[in-house]
Amino acid sequence: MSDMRTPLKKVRGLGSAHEGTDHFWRQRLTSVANIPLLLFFIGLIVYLHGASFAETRAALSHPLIALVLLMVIISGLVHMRLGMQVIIEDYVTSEGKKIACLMLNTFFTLVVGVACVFAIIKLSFGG
Amino acid sequence: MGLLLVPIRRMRGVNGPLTQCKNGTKTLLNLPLSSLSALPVNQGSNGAALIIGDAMSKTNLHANRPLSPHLQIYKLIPTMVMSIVHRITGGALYFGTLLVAWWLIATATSEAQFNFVSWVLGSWIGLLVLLGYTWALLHHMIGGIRHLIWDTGRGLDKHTTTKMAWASLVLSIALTVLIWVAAFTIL
Ligand code: HEM
Ligand code: HEM
Repeated sequence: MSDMRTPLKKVRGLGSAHEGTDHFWRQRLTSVANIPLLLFFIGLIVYLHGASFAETRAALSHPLIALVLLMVIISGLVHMRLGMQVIIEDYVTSEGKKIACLMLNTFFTLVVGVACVFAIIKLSFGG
Repeated sequence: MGLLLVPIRRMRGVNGPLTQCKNGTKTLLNLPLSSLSALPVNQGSNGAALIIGDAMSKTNLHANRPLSPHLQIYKLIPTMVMSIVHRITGGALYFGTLLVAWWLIATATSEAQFNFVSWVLGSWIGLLVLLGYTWALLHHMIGGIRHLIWDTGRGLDKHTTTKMAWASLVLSIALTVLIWVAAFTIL
């Protein structure tokens, strides 16, 4: 057998980064999801343009709006974290700095995500 | 006939054969990409370009190895610009999520906080940022749809990609204007 790869490795199909096409695929999946979700988001912002505090809270705590908005946030943030990972891997060549940047990328995403999700839940439960 | 492996990578935003330099010289990059991996080569007239096959010593190979000219040498073409802009808008949207989070948190906190955010975002500088954010989002979305079309193997030829590049710019600006007009007039 001239091929050095074991059958198991081939079946797994994960390649040298051990991730296979997972990153690419999730980026595409979230891209597709983002199209309707962010169109909804733009619509929501236009609709709420100039709205008062009470009107804004009423809209954001409506269950349907809240649920879709949660999806906007989650899909958008997962997508943006994957995207920023690629940018970091392209430009930050020193190994240590790269790992630090990749960590910051995840932290940033989590902080923004947790803040948004918390706010939406709080609004929904009338807080 | 010797074959030389040319160490070249595809450039972002350029799907067809690369490309013409500003000073008019064409490089080996004018060959179709598919031919680059195993390229039978000839002595180029400017010496920098190509190398011969048959009796080539190792020294010769090193001395004549084609160099990739630096970025500024290349004429900017629409597909390159759109590729770069896709990345820049993605990065801008990334940090722009802070604004979204701030707005949501303020709305969930108190009327004073909400009024403060509204005041900041309603100032001329806030509006300018939001206008930019709208355009970045739309342009990135249209650019993203372009990527998804490419992923199916369609629309990859030179003329189509150039048309799509211009179309995404025109469309994103038009939609931005439309949305802002809608936000300020109808509602
Ligand atoms: C609105 C719908 C969106 C679509 C259809 C979309 C589509 C895409 C696609 C297809 C890519 C991959 C490009 C490539 O392979 O080179 C990408 C990259 C990226 N996206 Fe999005 N995206 C959307 C929204 C967003 C949002 C809301 C954000 C941020 C909050 C974002 C941030 C990014 C970033 C940072 C990248 C990486 C850019 C790069 O590698 O050059 N995208 N997007
Ligand atoms: C011989 C010419 C060139 C080669 C071989 C080349 C190669 C590359 C490679 C390998 C990458 C990263 C690969 C990737 O992200 O998929 C890249 C990214 C990039 N290139 Fe080039 N490049 C060339 C010319 C240019 C020119 C003329 C410009 C702009 C004036 C340019 C702007 C960029 C930018 C901004 C990026 C990173 C942004 C992005 O990936 O979207 N390049 N290039």
